[in-house]
Amino acid sequence: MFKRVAAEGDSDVWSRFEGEVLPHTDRLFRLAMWFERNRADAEDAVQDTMMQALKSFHRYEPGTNCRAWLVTILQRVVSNRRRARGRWVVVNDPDDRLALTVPFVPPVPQHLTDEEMLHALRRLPLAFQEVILLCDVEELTYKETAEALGIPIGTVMSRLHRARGQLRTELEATQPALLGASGPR
Amino acid sequence: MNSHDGRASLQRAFERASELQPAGDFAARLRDHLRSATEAEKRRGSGHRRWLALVAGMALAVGLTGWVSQHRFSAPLDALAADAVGDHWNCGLKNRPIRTPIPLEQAAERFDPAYRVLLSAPPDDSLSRGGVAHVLERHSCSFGTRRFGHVILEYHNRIVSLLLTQQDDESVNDTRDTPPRLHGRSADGYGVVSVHGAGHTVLLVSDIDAQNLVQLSEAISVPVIRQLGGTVAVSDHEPLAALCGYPAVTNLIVPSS
Repeated sequence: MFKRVAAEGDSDVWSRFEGEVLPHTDRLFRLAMWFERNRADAEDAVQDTMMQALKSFHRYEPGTNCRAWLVTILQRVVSNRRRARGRWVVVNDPDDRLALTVPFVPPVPQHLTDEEMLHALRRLPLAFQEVILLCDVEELTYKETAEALGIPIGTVMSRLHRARGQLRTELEATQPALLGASGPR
Repeated sequence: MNSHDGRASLQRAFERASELQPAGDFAARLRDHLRSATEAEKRRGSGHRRWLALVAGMALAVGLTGWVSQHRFSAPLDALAADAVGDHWNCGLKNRPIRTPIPLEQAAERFDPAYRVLLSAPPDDSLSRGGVAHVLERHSCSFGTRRFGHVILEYHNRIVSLLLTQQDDESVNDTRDTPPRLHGRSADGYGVVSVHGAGHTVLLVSDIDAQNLVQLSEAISVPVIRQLGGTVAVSDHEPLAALCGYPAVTNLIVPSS
């Protein structure tokens, strides 16, 4: 609560918040921007995230992964905003259903541009994008990712495996000529 | 390219993508906003303390020590009121609940059989001393970690939320059945009236005036508690708290629109 921030030696708490939390603003914004696809919405999402982080800063344990804590809050904020806009992504069993879409896992092609990497990622189902961004880009642990997404660790692991496989498939489609030399399937 | 290289490439692509970068002044704007929000809360906190001192003095002067004792606020009760206001705001007014609402029947099976009472209570049209309240929707939803049975009503063209939840050790200090009790009014103008009984609490949240909210609680919240087996008594006289107006709820979080 702000009240706690205000009561517990204002400048100390603010200094700690400023020192530990605010440096993650840019990373949070990139994640928010990826999911919101709109600069104003992304700024709102990050602002909501930081407000919530400030209110519950007394629960943050120094020395733990601050970025994972913030990403968890951001995920909830973005998810709630998505619901509020009616952009539901309702898939009864995304992992079982989406597994069928990964029949072949080619090697990652060489010489990819940043743009090609991100375009390939964007073509994945949202559930796959989330788990790749959290595990591979933000380097959250399986446990932290599970908490952020509100799913079991086992689901994170299997979803990540499938997501990486589909990402490689998408990347291969980006550069078929390069992979043509990698031999028959 | 191995998986480690793939991950590093993805990280670099993500960090360098120009379309994902924040505006140059965003961090500074955000910092200022957070800082001013903290300052505003500090001012509100000191204002609240001054208000409490004034009320305490008046109460002593007119010999209302007993009333003060009965209506004192506690942090856990404030937390419950804050959750109720949060759910009213998110679910009742903005239709953006934290988790998807589920039917009362389903909630009764999964969480608490008491939610079944809300299938029929309050009735679709309830008459209170202040007028008729019309039920718009019934479901179960949650705010934070607290689950509610939620009946959304329309009363004098305003939205009112009736929220039923289980009592727990943290939500009340006293588990005796109690008549409608004011929790206070949030900074955004939402009042909360609660009734306890039969191991449950029924909260009524709205921005209607205090007296109407208390009267409506007597008309629709008390019967819910009684149907659950509670023995709530309603006094004949006007609740003193309603006449005094609402003090502020502390620790209240109302998500911004």
